[in-house]
Amino acid sequence: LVAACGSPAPTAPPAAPTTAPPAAATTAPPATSATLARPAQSAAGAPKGQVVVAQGGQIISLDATMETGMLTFNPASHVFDTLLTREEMELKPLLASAWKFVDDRTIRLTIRDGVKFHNGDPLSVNDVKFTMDRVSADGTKSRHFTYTKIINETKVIDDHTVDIVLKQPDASFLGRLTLIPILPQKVVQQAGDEAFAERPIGSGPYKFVEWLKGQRVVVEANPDYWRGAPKIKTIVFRTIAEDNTRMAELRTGGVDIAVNMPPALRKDIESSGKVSIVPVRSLRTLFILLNSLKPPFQDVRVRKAVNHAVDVKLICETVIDGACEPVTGPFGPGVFGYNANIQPYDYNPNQAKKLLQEAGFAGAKVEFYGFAGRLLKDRELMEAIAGQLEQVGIKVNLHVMEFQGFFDNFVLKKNMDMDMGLWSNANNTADADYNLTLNVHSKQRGIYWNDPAIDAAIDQARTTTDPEQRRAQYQDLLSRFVDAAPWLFLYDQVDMYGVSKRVQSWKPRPDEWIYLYQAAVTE
Amino acid sequence: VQRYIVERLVHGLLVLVGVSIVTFCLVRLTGDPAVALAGPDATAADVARLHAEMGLDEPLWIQYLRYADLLVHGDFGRSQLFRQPALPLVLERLPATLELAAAALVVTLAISLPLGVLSAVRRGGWIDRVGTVFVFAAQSMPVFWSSIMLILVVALWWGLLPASGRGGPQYVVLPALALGFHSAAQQTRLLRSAMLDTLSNDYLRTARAKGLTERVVIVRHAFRNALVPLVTATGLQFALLMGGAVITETVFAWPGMGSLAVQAISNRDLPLVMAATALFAIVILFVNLLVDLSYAAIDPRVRLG
Repeated sequence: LVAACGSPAPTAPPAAPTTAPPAAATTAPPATSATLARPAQSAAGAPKGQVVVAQGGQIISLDATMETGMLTFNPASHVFDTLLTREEMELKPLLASAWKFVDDRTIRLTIRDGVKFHNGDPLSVNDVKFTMDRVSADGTKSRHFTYTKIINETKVIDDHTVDIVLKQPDASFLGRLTLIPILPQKVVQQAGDEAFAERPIGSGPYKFVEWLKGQRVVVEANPDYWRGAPKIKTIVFRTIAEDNTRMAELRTGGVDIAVNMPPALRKDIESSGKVSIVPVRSLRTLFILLNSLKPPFQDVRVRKAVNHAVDVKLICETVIDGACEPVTGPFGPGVFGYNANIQPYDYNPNQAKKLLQEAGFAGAKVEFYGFAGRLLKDRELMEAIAGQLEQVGIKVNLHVMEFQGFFDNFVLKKNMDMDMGLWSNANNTADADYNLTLNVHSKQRGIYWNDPAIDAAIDQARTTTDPEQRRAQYQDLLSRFVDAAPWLFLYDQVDMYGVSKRVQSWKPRPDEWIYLYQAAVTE
Repeated sequence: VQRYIVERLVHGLLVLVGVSIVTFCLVRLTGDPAVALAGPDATAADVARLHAEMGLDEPLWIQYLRYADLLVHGDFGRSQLFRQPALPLVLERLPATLELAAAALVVTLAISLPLGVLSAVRRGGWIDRVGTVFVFAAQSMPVFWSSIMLILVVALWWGLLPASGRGGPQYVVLPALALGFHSAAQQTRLLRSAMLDTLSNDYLRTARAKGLTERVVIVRHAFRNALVPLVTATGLQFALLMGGAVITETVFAWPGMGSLAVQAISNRDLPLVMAATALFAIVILFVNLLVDLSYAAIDPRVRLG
């Protein structure tokens, strides 16, 4: 079990200076472009073979400028290219060969020459402007708008240069550009949004072939791709909602990559020798919100007591079958700004009892709300936490709701009936700003938490463009945040992928992005 | 008969109006569509923006009238989730749903006809006992469980059929079996008791006294009379198979209307839910009409109107 959630996760703590958000006026070093892996063409020759990917949900559109979420992005990212991309959680150039902050709110992008869409048209700066306007204009229906509303305008400077001007400085914005594909303006305008979302044309390594709704999306290798042709000829993205069915398909060879394999069945699945279960520490962090706006959690000692009362490591190993890695704060080491020096709240029921006594906690019942069927073993997790709290004298009333109802009532409307609430955050931009601004900052959600000093610290870090300075600011902010214990800190979820041994040079990523451009397949 | 059909169609329209009101209320009162649409990263401001955009700020009855106006013109509106007209999205899934329901019906009848008739004729014999065991087993197994067992045994261990998805005829076999078993159990029980009923009638004694063979007595006299309740039940069963395939569709990754409807409901996507329920309602009304009309054909004593 320990092995299952131990070493394989490839998220090394952010070592050495990253090239991530480059400081003002630094272009991406040429080395970065060179390391952008090209598939070895010489040996591989023409693309061959087929890989079937099984996702758990239905694909609702192939236009990833309008939709967010990996169900859409996984197939779409094969048909399109984004301006920047992320490898080993660091920003790398893609359609933009270089980028720099001209001032603290203007990002200057150099757009690559010689990139062609699948219909033969060259990709130009106008297509970039068209796409950025599409996701950020007032009244856009794009679901990226939560993050793109910060764009003031996108300006074409010359044939190779585009400026994105933000309303306020936001160093975390670059990460967003890894999730927005660039569309061909002419094709979209001719076809209309609806038709384009069903039969997309992009500049990516794969061409769209067919989409049978509710069933499969098929894409085929683009031999003229500007980074070189991919090695796999055909990729099929299937929708299989039921875990057991995905597992059966994986074992019969019907699919080659399957998401969310049940960790408890790992041995069973691997017994044939044809597939392996590959765990990866994800960017999804789970935590319990503590309502600090009213007693009993208004008192920091009670919040700390809860953090000492719950044995997260034990819960991970037993209840969650090892598919998790405990965290010391609001997110794990895969996120920019992580502070490795924070001392975790150790499991110490006596310390918890002592803190409760000091706070004069008189054994009041706390109302614990959550939802079931959305996260791995969510109901069991809540029951385990409630059980451990009872042992230090905190009586818990557990309410398990349907997800949307919980989200609306507590995360959005902050109904004050709640004392404790289950919540999680998938940090897809791998930047501290995402989680903190969204959930902690009082101007955003500030879920049961309101601290002007922390707000100010979040604002300051977001507007700092020097990465090292910014990282230091987050580390300081985090140690203050963890000391205030607004949440019961739990763990990063470990995702289990089932992977056929036919699939070569591919490994799952922490951000749930399944990208097969550099992968190969044996027959 | 024509007047009867027209009357039934008018009733059907009233039922559809009722269905639309109930669907509207159920979708709107169980949650906020804007919240579902905005996604888990949304802020209260994002949801408010969507509210205004989707006209959700107005009183519920105005929203209904506005939507009813669309419906009267045959327009279900656009799915909020897919951002496409709702009706074509549902119609696209209809063939898969019909294919599965028809295949499941074949399974149902193939099991229940012989088993039901023979259990009644040989009451207390071994066929009757096998039938009873089958009925108990098939009715007490949850469809979810039997579906997964079929996948494990037939697809994974024996490697005989594909585990999931839709394609050639081999793909429909497992989901049709899973779905058909369950309804076959009900049909078998029904047919057995209907046959037992007719077998005890005086006219059968008369038929035997005339010197007819046992086979003719059972097939022409008993079975024909047991058909009336059977046809009713089969009609309803077909409608149930169409609407009740939700779990089977999900487990077998079958791209039918059921799995689409579930997605629509969990996203509070009113136009899509409405299009799906209306289509289900129309199918059920239509099947009921056909069943009633068929009575006249089966039983000359029945007069419609």
